[in-house]
Amino acid sequence: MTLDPRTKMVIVICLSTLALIYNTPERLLQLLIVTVLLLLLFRIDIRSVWVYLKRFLQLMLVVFIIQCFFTRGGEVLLSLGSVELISSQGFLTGASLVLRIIVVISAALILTTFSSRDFILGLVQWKVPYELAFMVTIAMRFLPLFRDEFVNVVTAVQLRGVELKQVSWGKKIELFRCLLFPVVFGALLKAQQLAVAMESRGFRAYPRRTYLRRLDFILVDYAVMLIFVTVTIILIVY
Amino acid sequence: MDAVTVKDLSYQYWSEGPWVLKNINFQVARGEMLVITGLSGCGKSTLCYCLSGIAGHRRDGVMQGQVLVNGKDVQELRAASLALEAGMVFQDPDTQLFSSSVEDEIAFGPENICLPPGDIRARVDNVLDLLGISSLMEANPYHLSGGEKHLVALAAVLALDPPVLILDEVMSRLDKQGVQRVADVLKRLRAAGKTIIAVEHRLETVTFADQLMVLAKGTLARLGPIETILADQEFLAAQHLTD
Repeated sequence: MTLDPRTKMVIVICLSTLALIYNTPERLLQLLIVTVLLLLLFRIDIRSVWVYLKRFLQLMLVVFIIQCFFTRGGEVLLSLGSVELISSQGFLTGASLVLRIIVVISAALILTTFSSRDFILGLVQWKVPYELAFMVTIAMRFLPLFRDEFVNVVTAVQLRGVELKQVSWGKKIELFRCLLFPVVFGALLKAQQLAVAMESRGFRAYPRRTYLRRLDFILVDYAVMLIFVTVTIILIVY
Repeated sequence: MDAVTVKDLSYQYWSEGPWVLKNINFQVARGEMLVITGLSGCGKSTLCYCLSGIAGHRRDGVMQGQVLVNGKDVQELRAASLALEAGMVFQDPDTQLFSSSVEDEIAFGPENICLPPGDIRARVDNVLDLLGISSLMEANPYHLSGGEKHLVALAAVLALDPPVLILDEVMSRLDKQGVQRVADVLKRLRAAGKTIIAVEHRLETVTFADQLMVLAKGTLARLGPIETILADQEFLAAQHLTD
């Protein structure tokens, strides 16, 4: 479906808002089904959702376990003698949190169906200052690069004969503390180089700037936005 | 009036550090092409940073002397305003490219100087065509080869149409065909009145230039017509610039 990037942003905001407000696994599951249908509608490969979710598996597991063990209420599902370990309320809260994370991450994938350029244009046409919109996209763009840089530094250490798997946790923390310096220094250097590159191309030479392209809403965009915003408000209120 | 005038230029990267450039003096006339060469670490890139105003504005270093581009002191102009006077292509194009597509990268400069969308489109198409990279228009600059990245960085600077071009080893990552293409472009730009200052190691690729400057340990070892200096094999051998 070809929609204006701003319409897609509104859809993501609606889905994420509902995910944050809903508390029950049933409701969140329904929301997840709607999100998956939308992903299919936007021709997003569902397998790519798994690729993104995989990175958050450990976080989801920890959140689920913590909720299971520390939230009380309802029936006792697991106990050790007289000590209650897992309650039905804890299980449901854990499941809700995991589903919430899945919905938010899946919905965010809708943002990958348009370029960062359109993202900036969309925000600017919504009267967001260009500098702010540009900073957001640059941050989104450079974060994976910093991750790659950290991986490169770790690989460089391993190539010098340090077998990380055999290093104790204490030493490992010390090692990562040392590795943090070149990565942070690299990040600062990159930021400085980026500023130089931008200024050498006339960035902020004038208080305003023009754009090669322009985004224009069509009737479908208005209709989709109206439907999503209205339905979201109704679902929140009732 | 000369396009570029450098008077008693010295530079150190920090106040207690060594002088990377020492008392450099030269002029480049409008429409002239000057090639700068020398061994690694002799100060070629630093000189480029000084000429483009980056050294004076961004680095924590100490700049002495004066650099005038089109009669304007680079230390007195804002970095963004300087971009309209002198465009620089960096040695490492990865530090210069930040957009998600080649088209956006090239359009960034003209957008900053408030050109109407039609004019931006025309400039983007013209430079893509000039450098023979129209097929890369939709590509992500991060996914290009080193040579292609250099061409995109050059295109992005050309789109601003500055009267002075400073090119820091722009041909270093190009294959033979790419070198020939850039050399042809430089000839056309010079014929169109652009002033070009290019750092280059492979001097056989820029024999069409007007002047050659040889830097040695931050000092100006020699400056003169390129054919005269290239003919002086003894001097080139003494500077370790022969194969």
